[in-house]
Amino acid sequence: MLSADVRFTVAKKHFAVNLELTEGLYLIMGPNGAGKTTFLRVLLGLFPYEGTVHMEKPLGYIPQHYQPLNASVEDNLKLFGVTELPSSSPLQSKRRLSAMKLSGGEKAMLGLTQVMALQPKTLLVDEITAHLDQPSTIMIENTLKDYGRHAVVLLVTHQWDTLLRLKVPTLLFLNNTAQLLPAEDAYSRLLETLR
Amino acid sequence: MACALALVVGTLYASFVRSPWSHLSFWRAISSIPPVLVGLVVYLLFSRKGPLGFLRWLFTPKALVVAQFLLAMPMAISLCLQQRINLPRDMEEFILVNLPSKRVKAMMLHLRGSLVNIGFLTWGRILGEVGAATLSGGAIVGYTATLATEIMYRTNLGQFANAVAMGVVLLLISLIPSMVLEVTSRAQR
Repeated sequence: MLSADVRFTVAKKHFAVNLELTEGLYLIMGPNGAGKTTFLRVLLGLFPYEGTVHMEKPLGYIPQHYQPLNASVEDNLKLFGVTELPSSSPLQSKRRLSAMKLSGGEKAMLGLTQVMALQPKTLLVDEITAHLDQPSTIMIENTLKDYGRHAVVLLVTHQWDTLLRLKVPTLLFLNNTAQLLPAEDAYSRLLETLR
Repeated sequence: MACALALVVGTLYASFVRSPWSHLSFWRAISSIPPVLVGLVVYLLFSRKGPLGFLRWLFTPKALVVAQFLLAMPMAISLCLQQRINLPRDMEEFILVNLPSKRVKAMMLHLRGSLVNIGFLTWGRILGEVGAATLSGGAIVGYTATLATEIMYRTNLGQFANAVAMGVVLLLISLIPSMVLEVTSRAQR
């Protein structure tokens, strides 16, 4: 459960967002600079705002520019209490490697594995699939969708095909407003921005 | 020993502070204090009439270690703070949100990867230092003399061959860690 009634200002643009979300995966979309990342930071109390935010704890957050700590994959995992990995995990064979040497997709998986080990009831993910290939993107999307069965998951993305694949409610940031729309409506509104 | 202690203090300090930027300028400035002034402070602290004179540490290895520690610590702290600042804002927030109770542990893990480098740089600061070592330890041969103070002593006596030999040893000691660091970092690349 997540409820937010907030007002915040970014680069002289004023935003007012009123939301009430139950368990499930939700996308946050909109053009660059529309306030998507700032909205996540508002929810987390990392950006000044007026209003109220209620989120079920524990919280999980993967930021836009996630980088592992300068240590081995194993040490990065242990920090979050992860001692065992499923044999199918792409990180299994790289446990002793420096986490900085992982590919973009592997780093994203590492971040996701770390945060999901905390079993958050509210999971906020910011553009984790931005630079990933299609198979890695789909794998992460499916992982988040599965996780959304028992938590509120917000995924910021720029990828329209993610919206087409997942067909989940989307919080659309357009023209200084934010609206929660069904997937089809959100897609139509995004197409209108091209005209 | 002084270097190891300075590294411990530097790591803990940089891990605990919440806004490393505001601390960095201060510790950078302190790092450039002339060593002879540090030696003078230690001398005054441990001299018989000084506030710590009752310890009777002056001209002992203990006073020498204190002086070297005071020389190394600001540099270790500023280098650790610099490394901490290199952590992107997003990652600071990642740790703050996900691991609020393990923030210090996470920062220490982040700093650990750079400790060897910081250690060598800090060690370099105290290795060839003469002023603080002489004032605090007295440069007593076989007791509190360091290679740097011995080179100065032998030169003053006109024993140039000995001074040059010790200079070569000092040079090797200062260069070998840098070479080891270079080789290992190339291997990691």
